[in-house]
Amino acid sequence: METPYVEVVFTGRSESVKMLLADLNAESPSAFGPFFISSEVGITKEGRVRKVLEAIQLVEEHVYVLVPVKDLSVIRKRVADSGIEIHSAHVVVEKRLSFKFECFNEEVAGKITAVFESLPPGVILEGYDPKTKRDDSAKGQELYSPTHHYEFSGQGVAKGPVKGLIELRRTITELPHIEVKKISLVLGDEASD
Amino acid sequence: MGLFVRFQTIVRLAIILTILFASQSVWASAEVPDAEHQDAAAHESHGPNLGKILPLWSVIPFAGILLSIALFPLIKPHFWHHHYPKVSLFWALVFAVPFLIVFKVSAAHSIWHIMFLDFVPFIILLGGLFTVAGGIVVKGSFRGTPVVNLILILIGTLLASWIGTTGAAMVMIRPLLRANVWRKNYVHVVVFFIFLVANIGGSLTPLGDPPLFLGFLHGVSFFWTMFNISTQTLFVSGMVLVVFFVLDTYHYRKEDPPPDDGVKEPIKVEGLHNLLFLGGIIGAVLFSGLVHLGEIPVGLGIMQTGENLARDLFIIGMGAASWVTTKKVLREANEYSWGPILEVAYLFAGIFTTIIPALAILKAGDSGALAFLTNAVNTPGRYFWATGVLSSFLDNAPTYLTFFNASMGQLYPGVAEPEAVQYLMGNVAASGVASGQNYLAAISAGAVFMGANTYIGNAPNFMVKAIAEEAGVPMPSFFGYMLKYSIPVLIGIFVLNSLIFF
Repeated sequence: METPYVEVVFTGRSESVKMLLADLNAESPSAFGPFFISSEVGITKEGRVRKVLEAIQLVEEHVYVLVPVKDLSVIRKRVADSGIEIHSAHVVVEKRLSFKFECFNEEVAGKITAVFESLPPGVILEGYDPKTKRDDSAKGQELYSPTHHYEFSGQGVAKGPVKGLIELRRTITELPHIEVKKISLVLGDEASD
Repeated sequence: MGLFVRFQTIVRLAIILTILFASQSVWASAEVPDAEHQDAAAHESHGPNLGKILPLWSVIPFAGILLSIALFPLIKPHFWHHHYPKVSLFWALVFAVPFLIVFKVSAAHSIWHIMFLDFVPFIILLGGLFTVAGGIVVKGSFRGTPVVNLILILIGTLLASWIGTTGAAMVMIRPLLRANVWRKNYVHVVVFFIFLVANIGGSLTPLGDPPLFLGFLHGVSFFWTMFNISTQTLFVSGMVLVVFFVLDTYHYRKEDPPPDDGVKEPIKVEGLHNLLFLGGIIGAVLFSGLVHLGEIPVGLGIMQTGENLARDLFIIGMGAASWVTTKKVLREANEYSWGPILEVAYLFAGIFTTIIPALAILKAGDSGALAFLTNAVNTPGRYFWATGVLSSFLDNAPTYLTFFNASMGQLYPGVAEPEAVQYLMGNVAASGVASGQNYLAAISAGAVFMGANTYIGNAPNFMVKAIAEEAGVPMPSFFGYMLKYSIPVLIGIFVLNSLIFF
C-alpha cells in the first residue's frame, strides 16, 4: 500500500524549496521521500491568476509539494531556520487523473488501448468504457458531411498511487489523441506531525 | 423525427409561407405583373420587380440551408451524413412551393433560370475538375522537413487555381501526410495546407474556388481575378508561407531524427495524361468567355448561349474521357468517389433555389428589403470583411453571390446585370459611372481568402480534416482550429491586406 501523502504549500522561492528538499533527500536517501514538486509532474496547483500575481510579485510565491506524511516533521524542523514558511499542509485523500480520447485510425486506437491495458502498479480506472463505431457508409471522401467510417472514443478517471499516476500521465501525454488534465488532489484535514 | 412528422412540418411551413407570400402580394398587388406581362417580367425575374416585392423573411430558407450546412456537421454529424439531401430538399420546398403558388410564371422562370444557367454549369465544372484531378496521383518517398513541406504546400497552392481547391487538396494531401508520418507533431502542417491549398491558392481563376466560377457565370472575365487580386494573393500567401516555414522549423527541431526507412520510392506523378483533359476544361471555359455562338431557348423563355452549352458538354466529355482512360488503381489511391460531387449537387440545388429572393432583393438596392445591408456595407474594405466574415461561417460560394448582387444593387441600381458586371470589373470607359473594380476585388478576395478561417468556410477544409484524422493526425476541434491557428495567423494578415489594398 502506498505511503500516505501530504500536500505541503511552501511560501518562498521555488529554488530555495527545491534546495531544502534536495538536501533532506541527500542526508538520508533511503528514509526521506519520494517527494514530488507539483508543477514538475503535472499536479494541479494554484490557478492562473495567482501565477500572474506571483510573477509580478504582488503575492508571495507558493510552491506545492507532495511529501510522505512521515517526512512532515523533519521538514517542519528544517524550514524553521531556512527563511521558508509552510503555508499549509493537508493530507491527500485521493488522487485522480481524468482523461478522454477520440480517434479515427485503428493503429492509433491500438496504441491507446495498449496504454490503458498496461497500467502502472496500483493504478485503477473508473468509468472507462471505450466505444468503437463503424459506419461503412461513411467510407470515402466527403466535403460537407465529414463522418468517419471508424471511430474509437472513451473517457475515464485513473486513481491510485502518486507515482503510478505521474507515470501514466507521462505516457498519455505522448499520445496527442488523449486529452488529459493535471492530476487533481482531494485534500483532507490539516496534517499534524 | 419520423417521416410523417417531417412531412407534416414541411406542409405546415409551406402553408404558412404561402399565406405570408399571398398576403404580401395582395398588399403589393400593383407591382405583381399580370399574366399578360408575365413573360416580360420573366426576363427580369432576378430584376428589380421581384426584388421590390419580396419581403425580407423570404430569405429564411436561404439562411436555413446555410446554417444547416454550417451547424449540422458539428453538432449532429451522423444525422447530417445520412439525411443532408432531405434537409436540402426541405429548405428548397419551403421556399419553392409557396413561391410558385403565388408568383406562378415569374417564380417558375426564376427557378428554372438559376438552375439551368447557374446550378447546372456549376456542378458540371466542379464534377469535371474533380474527376480529372482524381486521376492524378503523386507517389514517392518524401521526408517532411520544413523545406519539403514548404515545397509541397507551394505546389498545392499553385495547382489550386487550375484544378480547383478540392482537386488540389485531394492530390496533395496524401503525399504531405506520408512525408510527415514519422513526426510527432505535424498538425500545423495540415492546418496551413488548409489555409493555402484549400483556400487562398484558389483565388486566381474561376477554376480555383467555386465563388469565382459563379462570378464567371455572371459575366466576370476569366482572367479578371488574376489581373486584379494576384498582388493580394501573393501578399497573403507569401506571408502565410513565411509564418508556416518559421513554425515548422521550430517544431522540426524538437523532433527526433527521422528514421532510416531503407528503400525509398522514387517520386513520380501518375495519371499525367489527365493534364490534357484539364487543359481541355480550361480551354472550354476560356472559349465560353471569348466566343459568341448565339442563343438557344431552353424553356420558359430562358436563353442559354451556344458557347456555354458547348462548354458544358465539352467538360462532361473531358470528365468522361478521364474516367475511361485512368486506371482504377489511381482513383483508389486518391480514395476517389462520386460522393463529394453528389454532396455538392444535393446541397447546391437547395442553395440555388433558396438564394433567389436574396439575390433579387439585393439587386433592387434601396428599393429592396435588404437596403439596410447595402447601405451599411458600402466601401471595398467593408465588402472585404463582410464577405469574408460570412464566408468563414457559411459556404463561400453563396456568400460571394450574395455580396456580388449587393454591390450591383448598391452601385448600379436599375442597371441590367450584364452591364452592371462590366462596371464592377472596371470597364466603365465613356459610361460616366464609377468603377466597381475595388468592390469586386474585395468581394472576391474576402470570399476566397476567408474560407480558411474555419472548417466550415470552404468545402475542402472538412475533407482535408477528415483525411488527416483517418491518417492518425489529431486535428484541432472547430474552436481549437480558430483559436490556435486561423485567428492568430490569418486575421492579422487579412487586416494588413485590407489596410494596404482597400
